[in-house]
Amino acid sequence: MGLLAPWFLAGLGLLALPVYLHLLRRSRPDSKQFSSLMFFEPGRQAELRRRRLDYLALLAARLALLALILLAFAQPVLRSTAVRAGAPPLRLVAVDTSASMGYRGRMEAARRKAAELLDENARLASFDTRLRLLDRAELARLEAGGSANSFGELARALRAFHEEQKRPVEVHLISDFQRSGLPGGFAELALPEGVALRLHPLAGRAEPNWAVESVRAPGRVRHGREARVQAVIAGFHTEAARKTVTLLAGGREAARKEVEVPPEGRATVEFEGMDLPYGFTQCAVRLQPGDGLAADDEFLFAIERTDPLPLAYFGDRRSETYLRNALEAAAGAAFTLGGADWQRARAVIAAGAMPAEAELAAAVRRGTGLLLVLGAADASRGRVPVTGQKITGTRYAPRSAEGFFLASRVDRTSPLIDKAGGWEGVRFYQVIAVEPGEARVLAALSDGTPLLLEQRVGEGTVLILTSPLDGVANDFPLHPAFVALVEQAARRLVEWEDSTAAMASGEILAPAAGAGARAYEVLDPRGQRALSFAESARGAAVELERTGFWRVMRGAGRDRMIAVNADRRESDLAPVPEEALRMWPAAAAATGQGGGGAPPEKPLALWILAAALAAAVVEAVLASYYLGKEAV
Amino acid sequence: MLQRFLDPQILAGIANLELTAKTVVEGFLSGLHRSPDYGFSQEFAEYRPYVPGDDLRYVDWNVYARAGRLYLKRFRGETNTRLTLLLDRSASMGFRGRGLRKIDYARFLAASLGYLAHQQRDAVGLIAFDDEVRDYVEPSSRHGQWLKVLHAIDRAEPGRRTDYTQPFWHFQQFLRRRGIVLVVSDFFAPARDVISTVAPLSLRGNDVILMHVLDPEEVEPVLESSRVLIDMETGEEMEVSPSYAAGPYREKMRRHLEELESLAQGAGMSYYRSLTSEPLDEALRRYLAVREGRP
Repeated sequence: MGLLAPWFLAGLGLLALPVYLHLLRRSRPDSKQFSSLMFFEPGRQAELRRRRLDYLALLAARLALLALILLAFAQPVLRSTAVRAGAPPLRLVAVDTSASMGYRGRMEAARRKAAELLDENARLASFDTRLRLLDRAELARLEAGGSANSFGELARALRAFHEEQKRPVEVHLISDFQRSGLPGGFAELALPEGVALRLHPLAGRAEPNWAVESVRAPGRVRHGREARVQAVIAGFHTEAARKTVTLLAGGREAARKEVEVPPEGRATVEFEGMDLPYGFTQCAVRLQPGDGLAADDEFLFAIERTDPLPLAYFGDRRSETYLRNALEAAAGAAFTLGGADWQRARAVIAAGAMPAEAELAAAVRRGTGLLLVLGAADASRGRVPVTGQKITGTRYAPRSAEGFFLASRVDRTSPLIDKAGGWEGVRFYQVIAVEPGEARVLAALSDGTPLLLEQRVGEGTVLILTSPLDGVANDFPLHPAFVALVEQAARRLVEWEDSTAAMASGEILAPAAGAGARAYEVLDPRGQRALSFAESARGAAVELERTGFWRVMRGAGRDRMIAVNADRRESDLAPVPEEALRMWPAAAAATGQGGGGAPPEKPLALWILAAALAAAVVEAVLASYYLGKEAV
Repeated sequence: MLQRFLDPQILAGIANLELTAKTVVEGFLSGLHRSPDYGFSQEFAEYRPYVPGDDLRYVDWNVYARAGRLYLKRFRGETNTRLTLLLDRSASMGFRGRGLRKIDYARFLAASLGYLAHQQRDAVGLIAFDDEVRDYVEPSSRHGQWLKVLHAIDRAEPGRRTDYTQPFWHFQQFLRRRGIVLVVSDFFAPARDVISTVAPLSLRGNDVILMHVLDPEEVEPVLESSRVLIDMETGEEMEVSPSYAAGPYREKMRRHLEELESLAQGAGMSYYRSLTSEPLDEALRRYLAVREGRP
């Protein structure tokens, strides 16, 4: 135990300040305004009482707070005397399997080099966005994937690996060392003491490469002819060239166009009027003729053709007007409100009225979405229908503050919030206070009272808006954000979002994200199950390692098709400059040497600040208690 | 559960006056189980011939097309009642004991009664006064009237000292048609002065209800030690002992209240006392009872 800045302890003299304040404290003369003195007569003079050292507990809390802050400034540390034991080095041969390694001949060269380096004590690994330890027998089957590589992530993984091994490690990296894989700062490449780095570059210069860089296409359409596809063709380190771009739909050529790609530039191609059948169609934009890196010559995407989805509505006319207008104003008008038998609707909106709760709850468990707009009647029931959360009362905007509530805590990871601009400026005057329970709170007041909740019930999603849409309880329907909220809520309820998204290889697919969904099946591009039954049942996430079309099977018409493409960061084949490559092992060595010598010190300032925080809380509570007492 | 929102302490926390009124009335109706006796049913009752001055919105044009005469549709619970709220906004109404200010309670009361009347399509108006008429909204059942009344109630903040003589002389000019007149005040004036000033309204055929709003501390003040009290209207200061507040003051106040109630009843007016700690439903019930007795 020691102090890095002991001279700060001189500040302990400040402890006299609270004592001084508490000693000299005086009570104020006691006067009070009264409505009328017409029934009073004068009485005797009041005696004012002087107070001496008072509020001892408050004084103690204040002294402790000051003392702890001063102690934290003195930077106390705990010195450890632990010594590391030496051990024989372990050789790790790591082979880059990112998409760019698919460039002609690189993977074969990598396998040969790895075979040379693998001795009896060596371990084999592959890496792209993460490091995977492999069995030596898998070397012959190593292929380039579709992911990008990240040397920052690799360095992090190597640090963890070294920590786990607890002995020196000699790492051999076999890669094309693409420049796009370098992190923003060289510090992220730092390796700990005991890790020796050997680099084996396979690419000498920036090879020319053309790629279908991106495709913009609608995920869902109501009519096949309205699908408009826009593709960007990019050239990296290339001369001007004329390329043929083909649009494929359902495995057949739907259109073909010629495009002039400028030197090291981009060109855009547009296709319109595809003839799409109902359901999912696997589509692709393909570049011809191909080049040395085939992985980025084709961009896959999927389009679903459906009719507008009906949403059943129960409730008052005013709320219905707001909701209907918002749905009609939303882009694409993909939903219709009311008119259908509610049991056949994909989702139900209930604003103060609903069908029999037991039937509705059963429908939700089978996959029907439900938007509950709570009102005063729900507050009197004391619980939220279907989900059963406890309603503790009604919150009204206080007169003491601005006179309205704002959504201060919002979860911007949810499109319901993000696409509605974070609900900025929306004023709430009345909110039904609900205990969230298992539900995810998407928006809440500053004190945590939820405004919007999301919960999974069986296969269905339930959204709960805790402020009525009666035009009095809030001004939400008057904000443009309301249109976005209603549209996104409808999408969420029918699980429309991302239904046909295109993702990059290596990304994580989490169908359960946000609501704890259960029971779905994921089929990889070969048609094989990507999850075990147990993983499916608990809603585990899937890493999209393989390029192609993935299917997420959830039943009740809520299937998804996801096109997975090779990561386009891999299209630029420029390697890391040689000087930087030379610096990396040297920097790693320098970092390692810096860590020896003096025993490690564990700073205690954070713990002391935490104690100071606790003292501050105690002080606040006591001060508020005494103030309240004085006011009375 | 809605009933508890009639608690003025909870209402005091609501910033939006319209929401307050809506909450109170909904809670009240919930307690009544929407009894048709109180006239909330909008069930069709009868036709009556049109007379000049009737609202054309209620003319049944189908009947006119067939019979060639103008008839008005009447619904059960619908009358041509005119409610005028007289809201005292003198400085003493700004007094706050341990709960909310009297003016806030009076505003909730006025807004709730106004909302209730508006829901029944009664014509609602408002006069806010201290020693003069400060705000006047003529009773009407036209579209937008409710918001006018609501804004006028919301604007009512404690002003100067109370003087019933001057403003009540003016009221007689405003109140040409008969109806229900509801006076919300703390009546800090000699009881005889109050009644002699208000009684002419009753003599002109109005049903007058005196809503006496008081803070519990005004009725039974508790002083732990001698205190300097400052009159909110005159600024006069006086040191008062706890024994006086616990004894003679309470006796004087009790006599004042009894006298006021007795004189009000003698003058044919309805008198109701409401403490700021009490729920608002009794006031609403009192209004409906008076309203029921009207044609």
